[in-house]
Amino acid sequence: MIKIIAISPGDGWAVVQMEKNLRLLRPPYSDDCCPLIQDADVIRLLSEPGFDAATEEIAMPDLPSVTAYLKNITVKTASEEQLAQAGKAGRQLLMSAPPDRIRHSLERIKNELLPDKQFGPALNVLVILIQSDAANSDAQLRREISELLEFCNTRMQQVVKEKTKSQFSCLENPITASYEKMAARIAYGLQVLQPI
Amino acid sequence: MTMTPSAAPSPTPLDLFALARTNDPLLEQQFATHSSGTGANATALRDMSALVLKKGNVTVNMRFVTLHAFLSTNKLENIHEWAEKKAATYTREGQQSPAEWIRKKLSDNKDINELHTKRTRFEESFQRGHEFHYGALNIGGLGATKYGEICVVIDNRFWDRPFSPVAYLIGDSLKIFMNHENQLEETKLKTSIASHAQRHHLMALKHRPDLDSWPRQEWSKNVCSEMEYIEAIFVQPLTLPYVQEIRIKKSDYDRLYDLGSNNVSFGTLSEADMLLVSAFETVNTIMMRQNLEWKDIT
Repeated sequence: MIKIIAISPGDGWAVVQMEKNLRLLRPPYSDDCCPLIQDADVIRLLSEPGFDAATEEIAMPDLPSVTAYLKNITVKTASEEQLAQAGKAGRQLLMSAPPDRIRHSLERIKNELLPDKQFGPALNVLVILIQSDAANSDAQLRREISELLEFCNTRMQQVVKEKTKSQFSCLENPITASYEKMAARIAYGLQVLQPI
Repeated sequence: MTMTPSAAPSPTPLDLFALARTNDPLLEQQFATHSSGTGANATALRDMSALVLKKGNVTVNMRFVTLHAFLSTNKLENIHEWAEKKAATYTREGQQSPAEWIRKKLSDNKDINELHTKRTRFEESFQRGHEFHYGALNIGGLGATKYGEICVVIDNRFWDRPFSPVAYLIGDSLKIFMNHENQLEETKLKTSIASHAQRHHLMALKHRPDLDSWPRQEWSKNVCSEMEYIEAIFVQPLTLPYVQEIRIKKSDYDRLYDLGSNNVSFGTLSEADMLLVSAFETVNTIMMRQNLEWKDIT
C-alpha cells in the first residue's frame, strides 16, 4: 500500500510512503516527478505554505490511484472562480506569450496539426496568436502568423469543397456549417491584421 | 520513517554568521594550499572558484503556490513568520498561538512532529534561528527542484545591504549537522561553513575530489541539484527588487505552454491540467507586471 504522509491540495504535490521509502509526487506525475526523498526533505516541504501533514490515514494500492486522488483533490480544492479562470488560462497565456513561445506554437501547428489536417484546432490557436501582444509589436512575427492563417484558410476551403461535391445539399451539410463558423473566426483574425 | 528521541538544544545560542566569518581564514588557507601549482586539479579548483565568483548566486526553489504568494506580497515568509501572521489574523476566532498554528499544520502527527523537532532543535541552537530562510549556492542550474520546480535567483546586491548576513554550509543543515539524537554537530559545522566572502572557496574545496572527473559543462548541474547543494542560510526576508531572475526547466516551460495551447485547440484538457496552466498563467502575469522574465534551462 502507498500511504500519503503530507499533501499540498492546491497544486497536487504530496509526500508518500512506499514500503520503507519516502517519495515526492508532483504533477505531471511522470517517472522523473516522483524522486526518493529523506526525512529532512519532508520537514522542509512541510514548512512551505500550503503543504500540510495528512490529517487522516490515506492509503492506496498503487501509484495510478494516488495520482487520480491527488488530481481529484486539486480540482475539489479549487474555487468555482478558479475553475472558471482556469478555462480561460490557455488563451490568456498565448495572448501574452513572448515571441519565442509564439514561434514554438507556430512550429507545433506546422509539425503536429497540419500534417493531420487539423485545420480547425490550428485556426483556433492562430486567431489568438494574431491578436497577441507579441504579434502586435513584431511585424515579422505577425507576417509569419498571417501566412499560416491564410494557408490554413485556403486548405480548409479546399477540404470543404472536396467534401461538399459529393453531398446533395450544401446548405444542410455539417461540414459546410462548421466551416462557416470557422470562416467567421478567420475573418476576424484577418481583420486584426492592420499594419503596425 | 526514522523515529528519533528529542534532545535539549544548546543552552547558549550560537551566532551562525559569526561562526562563518571565523572559518573564512581557514578556507582561504586551504584553498591556497590546494590551488597552487599547474596540476589539472589545481587548475580546476581555481576555475571553479572563479566561476562561483562570476556566476554564483543564492537561489530559492519554490512551487508555483509559493512563488505566487511571494510575488503577490513582495515578501518570502518562513514557517515562523507564516504562523505569526496566522495567529495575528485569526486571534479572535481560535485564539491560536503561532506554535499552535504550526502544530495544526503538522496535524499532530507523531512521526511528523518528531521530524519537525530536528528542525526546531537546529534553529534553537542559533541566535535569530526563527528568522532563518534557506536557499542554496547555485552557478546556473535549476537547484533543488524537489522543494519547488521554480528556481528564484537572488541578486548578490542583497548581501551588500547592512544587517543582511548569509552563511554557507557545506550541505543540508539537517542531514549533515544534526545527529540522531537531534543535537547539533557543532565541531563539524564550525569547519564546514563560510561567509559570503569565502563562498567560492567553500564550493571549490567541497568538490575538489570530483573536479577531475566532472565535465565542465555539467558543473552547474552537479553542484546544486536535488541530491547535492551548499546550503545558504539568511535572515532578511527576500523582496522582489532583489530577484535577479526566475528559472524554470525548459521541458516544464514547454509543457505548460503546450497544455494551454492544446486547450485552445481542442478544449479537452482535464480540470486538473487546466488548473496547472492557470497557476502558471497567473504567476506569468504578475511577473510581467514586475518586469520579471522566465529563464528556461535545459
